[in-house]
Amino acid sequence: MERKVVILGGGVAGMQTAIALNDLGISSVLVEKEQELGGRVKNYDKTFPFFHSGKELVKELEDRVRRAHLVEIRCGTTVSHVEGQATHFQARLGTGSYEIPAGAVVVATGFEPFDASLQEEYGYSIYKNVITATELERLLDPEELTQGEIRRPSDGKIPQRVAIVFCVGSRNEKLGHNYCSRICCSFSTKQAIEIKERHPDTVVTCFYIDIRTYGRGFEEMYRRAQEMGIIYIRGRVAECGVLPNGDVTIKAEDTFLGKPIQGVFDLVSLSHGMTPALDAPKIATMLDIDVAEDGFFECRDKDLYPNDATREGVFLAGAAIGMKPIPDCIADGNAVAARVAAFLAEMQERN
Amino acid sequence: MDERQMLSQDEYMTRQTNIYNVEARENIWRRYIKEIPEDGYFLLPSCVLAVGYPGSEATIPRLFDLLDLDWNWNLKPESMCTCCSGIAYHGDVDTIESTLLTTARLWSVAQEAGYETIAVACVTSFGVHSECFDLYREETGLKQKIDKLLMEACGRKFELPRYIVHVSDVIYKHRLRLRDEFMTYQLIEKETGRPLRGVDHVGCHYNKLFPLERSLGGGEYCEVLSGMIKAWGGKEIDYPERRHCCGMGFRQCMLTPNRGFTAASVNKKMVSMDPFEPDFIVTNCPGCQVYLDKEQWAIKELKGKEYFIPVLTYMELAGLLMGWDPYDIVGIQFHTVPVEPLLDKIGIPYDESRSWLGKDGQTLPCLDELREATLAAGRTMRGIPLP
Repeated sequence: MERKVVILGGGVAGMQTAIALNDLGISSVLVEKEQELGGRVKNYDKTFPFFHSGKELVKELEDRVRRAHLVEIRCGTTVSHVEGQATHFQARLGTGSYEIPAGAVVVATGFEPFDASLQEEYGYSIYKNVITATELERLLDPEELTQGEIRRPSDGKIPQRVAIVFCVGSRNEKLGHNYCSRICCSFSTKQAIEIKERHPDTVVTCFYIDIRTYGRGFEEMYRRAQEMGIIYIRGRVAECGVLPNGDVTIKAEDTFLGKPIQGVFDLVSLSHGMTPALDAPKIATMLDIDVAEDGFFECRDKDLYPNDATREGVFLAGAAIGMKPIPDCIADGNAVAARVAAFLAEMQERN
Repeated sequence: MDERQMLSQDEYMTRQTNIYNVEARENIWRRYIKEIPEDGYFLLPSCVLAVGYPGSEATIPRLFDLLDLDWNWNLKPESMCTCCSGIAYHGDVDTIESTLLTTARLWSVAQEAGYETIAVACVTSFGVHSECFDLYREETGLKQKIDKLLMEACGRKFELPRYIVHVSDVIYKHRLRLRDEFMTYQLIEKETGRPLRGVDHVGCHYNKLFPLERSLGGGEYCEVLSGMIKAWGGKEIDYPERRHCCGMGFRQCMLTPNRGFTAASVNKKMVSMDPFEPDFIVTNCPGCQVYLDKEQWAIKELKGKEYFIPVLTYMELAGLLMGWDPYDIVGIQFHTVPVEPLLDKIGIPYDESRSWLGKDGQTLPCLDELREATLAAGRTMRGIPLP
């Protein structure tokens, strides 16, 4: 019986799983398809709700995982084939013949941001001044091109009127994404605060369906945003249009007033939701595990075994089983490590 | 002139690369390609279009014949097409069952004549046929019910048609052939070589009822008309109220107190498109054609603002570019907003005195009466010198 664990995905959940397994004395191979560890979080200038640096968080985790003597890191490659059964898996990396014998597999493949051009009424990809939250995060990053100044793409002007449209690609039956992506309300509220802090004269207006700030410190951050003068309008945006000078028009509904409303903005940021990782179906086939109706991996039991896949010896962590904020991904890493350790101990006892 | 208007000059088309990604625009509609058969169309004309813009309706058979298409030209008058009942259905004075029966009969006539493609000239009618088709798919047992009713009513049988297309789909399909083989003119300003700026106004019942499967290019960036504009030398304008309804609305037509909604809707569109300085508007819906054209006059009367952007159906536009006589064939004299300024831009010759001639160039018997009534109303008649 093998005791080594193969972890698919080197984001925060994958790294924390490897660290926790190391602490439990279990060796693992952490496989990341990109050249660097850190997944999505390494691109976040600030995390929410406490405005910590995403880059520093990733650096801290990476330092820990690199110091862990039972963790082997494999970047720039993927697991291409898995054979065998629990406790006797053989995982092949890339196109080569290198195979890793493994007792268990952890899937921590994260998520894919929703392609905002699919919600066509907002004109993303066509109107240059309609951007996504991911692009706004780059504008907010002092290490990026604009050195942390918000400048709109069409003419480089500092926008005086910014609109943030929540729930783009989430809670949308038309697009087949009925789920709430959970983190976007807080992520975009964090961005609204950052805009206001850097450009106090800029008016920031957020269009939302419901504000879902459920985590510790989230609601407080939302309250702070309102106290700073950030405007929240409850109502879905119907469409965006562009004027000859590049300004973006927005048509929406204010459901509190019960009226359709319109406005003109210099810059519109779409708070796009999250979708399952693009290679989730391929991974599911490879590992012979199920994906749920929403496209994320299915759990053995959503209440009792939320980190177990539908096949023995395969475990799930992080956003691969639905959207969650960073602390939950870290908690998932620890939980999965405990589940794997318990599973391997049980199997050893049985043998 | 404010900055917005200044940028809306030709310069806008160059500068738009900074604010508008043309390549992305061209890619986005390709997600929604619908199958349009090459040939064999059972043509169903429009009730409204033939009355309001007879030249437009008359242009369809001319275009179909020019393209050597097989269509129901020789159908016997006794089995001819009827109204689809759409206006009554949408105006809540008729039931869906009556509409289902009416369309079932039309499909039956088409199938008897050997056609599997219904080509509808009216957008409301297109919506009605599409909706009926969809109802059969969604409602178990409905087909059997209508089968029985149709047999009782007129002794006919019917099947669901293989294709339902709009005539604008057909013209779109053949747009490049029309340009390359038959057109004399292009949508280019004669004096400057500037591509003319066109606003496409797609009827709601074409692209908003079944945007995924029935609208060429989808609901948001519908390509059916803008594809013609671009193929024939012009440039499309993307303005904020592009997808706004013309405001026709069947209730507005029937309830006089609501008619202000229509003028308000057209006004909203005009205010929005005006900074982009469009040279013309092209429609594929008879209702939109009527109201976008007529309400511009109402706006002038109400607000004193004269937009007067010529509104043409895609058939009229094709006919004019073909070099067909603007009055005898295309019938631009039926328009409220004069089309002649557009003809001047393109360089299409016209003789305004022909605008009030009847069949075979005969003088209309009622012309004197018309002239007197017009004079009494303090107005002038285009192309007719006043005494």
